[in-house]
Amino acid sequence: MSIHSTGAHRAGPPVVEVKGLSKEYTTGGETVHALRDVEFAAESGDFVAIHGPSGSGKTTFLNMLGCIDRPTSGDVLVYGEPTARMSEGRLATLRRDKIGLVFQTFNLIPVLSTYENIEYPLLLQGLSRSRRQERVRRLIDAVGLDKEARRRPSKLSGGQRQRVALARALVTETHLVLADEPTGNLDTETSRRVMGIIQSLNADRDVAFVVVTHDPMVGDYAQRTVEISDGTLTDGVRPSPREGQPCG
Amino acid sequence: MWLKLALRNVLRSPRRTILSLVIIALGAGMLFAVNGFVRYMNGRLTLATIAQYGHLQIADADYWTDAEDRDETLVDPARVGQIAASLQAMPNVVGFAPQLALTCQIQKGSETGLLFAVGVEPRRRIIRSFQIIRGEDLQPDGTGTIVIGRLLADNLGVGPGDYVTLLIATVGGSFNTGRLRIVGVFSAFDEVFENQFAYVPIGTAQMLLNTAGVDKIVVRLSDDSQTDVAAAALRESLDASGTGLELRTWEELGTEHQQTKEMFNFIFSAVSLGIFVLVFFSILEVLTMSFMERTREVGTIRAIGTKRKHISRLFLTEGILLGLIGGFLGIFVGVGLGALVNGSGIAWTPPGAVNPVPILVQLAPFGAVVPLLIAMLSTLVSAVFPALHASRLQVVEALRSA
Repeated sequence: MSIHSTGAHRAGPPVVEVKGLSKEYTTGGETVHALRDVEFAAESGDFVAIHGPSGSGKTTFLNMLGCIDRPTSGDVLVYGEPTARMSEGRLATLRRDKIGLVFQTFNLIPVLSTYENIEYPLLLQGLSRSRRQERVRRLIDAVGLDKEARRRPSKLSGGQRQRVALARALVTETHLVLADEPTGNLDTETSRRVMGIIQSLNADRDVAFVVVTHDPMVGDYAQRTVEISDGTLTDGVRPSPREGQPCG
Repeated sequence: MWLKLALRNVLRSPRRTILSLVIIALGAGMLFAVNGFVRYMNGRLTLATIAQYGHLQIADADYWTDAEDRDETLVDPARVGQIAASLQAMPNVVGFAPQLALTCQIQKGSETGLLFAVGVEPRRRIIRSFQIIRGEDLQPDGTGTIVIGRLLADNLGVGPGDYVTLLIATVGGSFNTGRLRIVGVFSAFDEVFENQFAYVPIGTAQMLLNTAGVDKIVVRLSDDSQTDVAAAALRESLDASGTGLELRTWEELGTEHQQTKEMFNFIFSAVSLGIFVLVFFSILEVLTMSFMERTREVGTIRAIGTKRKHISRLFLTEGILLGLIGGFLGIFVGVGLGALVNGSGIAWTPPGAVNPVPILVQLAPFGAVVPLLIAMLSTLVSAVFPALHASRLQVVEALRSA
């Protein structure tokens, strides 16, 4: 099954494109086909929600898109660049510069403050202090955490932590953010607030969001949804009822 | 960035950090204290060696090869005069004096004993490895006098004012005797020295041996550290003079002291190795635990673009920081241990020694370098395994860990 962007096509390659992607692994002597010959593409500004039951291959698929796991066959092209044969070092650079990742459990660095967590990818990039400061401040404002800038993750609520993670994912000015169950550890009200921020960032910054989720509410914010089952994708394209309406 | 992150990681688990620092600080502190003890003992040995031999000794080349013909190894007055002129011109020479040794039998009544006597110039006593405890030392006008060790005096039942007879073979091989008046009794470091050694004026020794020559000229320098410089200059001068004389430094002469020094240095090396191993395994366990707890965090920072080499660098920096902080704390521990030992008045009597030797710790700033390096090196090596393991983690596997 081929799943491609339905958004307004822009010049240049998709921010992420998957070609004939399969992933197999062996567990307990049996070969598990986590993904089977998957095709997928997303462009800047897309907001794709990927739904599927537990064990359907959602997270495996997202890991492939994020280049933190390698496919058994096929390829993932990030900004048109094939990644299947890239070295670990180049993949790390690609993830640093071109992909933002958001995790269900936030995965912030506990010994760093809000500001420092967001700044971390820029330190990896070697940006100057003034440029780092400018970008981090902008993102902190965008996710509404200016009062929490000096706090460490342990002093933040779940929603605040996820907003820090969002800011960290976007601080490198990437156009691709992959989120694995971003509302999985949040209550309904906080989930809506976080999704509103994601929707706003998606619209304002022309960033493609690919969100893996169990939460049907997340689909309400997406421009299209994709179902994943037994390692295959099924296009569930539909315009989001809330498209273009930032929520708070 | 890595330094800040590493420092915060080191401090994130206070209990574990304190445990690690205590292990490192105790190890480094003990090493610093042992280093201070070895420094003190080596210093004592250096002083004892120089007190016994002087800084330099000059003698006929054959003297140093234990030539059998005694007469041929003696330095005649002309050569003594020649070398004296050279020594007087050297700025770092504070004194020199000829010596003539004799082996004889000492007799008092029916009591006899073997005696190694050294003929010295009472006016130019530049070395002294004993302390007069009864009577007085040799005097410049003391021809026919002798000072003997305490144990020998006790064995013979003699003291200052008594006369003893020396039975000796002259350098020519004929038999000679001398009746000498004891002017003093000395106490020395070891029993052999107190039991078998004595000092006589060099004129008396020459008279007993029937020679005008001397065995050697003992040289005292202004500073121990000048030994090599002075020895090089003097060797050049001796070679040019054609006198057939050669010199030896106190380090070359005091071989038994050197061996003792080597033993102390070996002990220090063994203690260093032991502490290295102890700290290594302790910190390895601590860092491995720390790494296990942070597996997902490592996965996260790898996922957002941190390279493997940076992960290794982070863990290694944590190890170095632990070692550095622990090592510096160890210096204070060492100072404390040193003060404790020095204040306790502990002493021991080495085999054959007459008096107990105080056990002291002589700390020096330079002595902290090795403990610091050992602390840093052992923690750095401890961090290598967790660092490599962390850097080689598969990102996905690391993110899945609890």
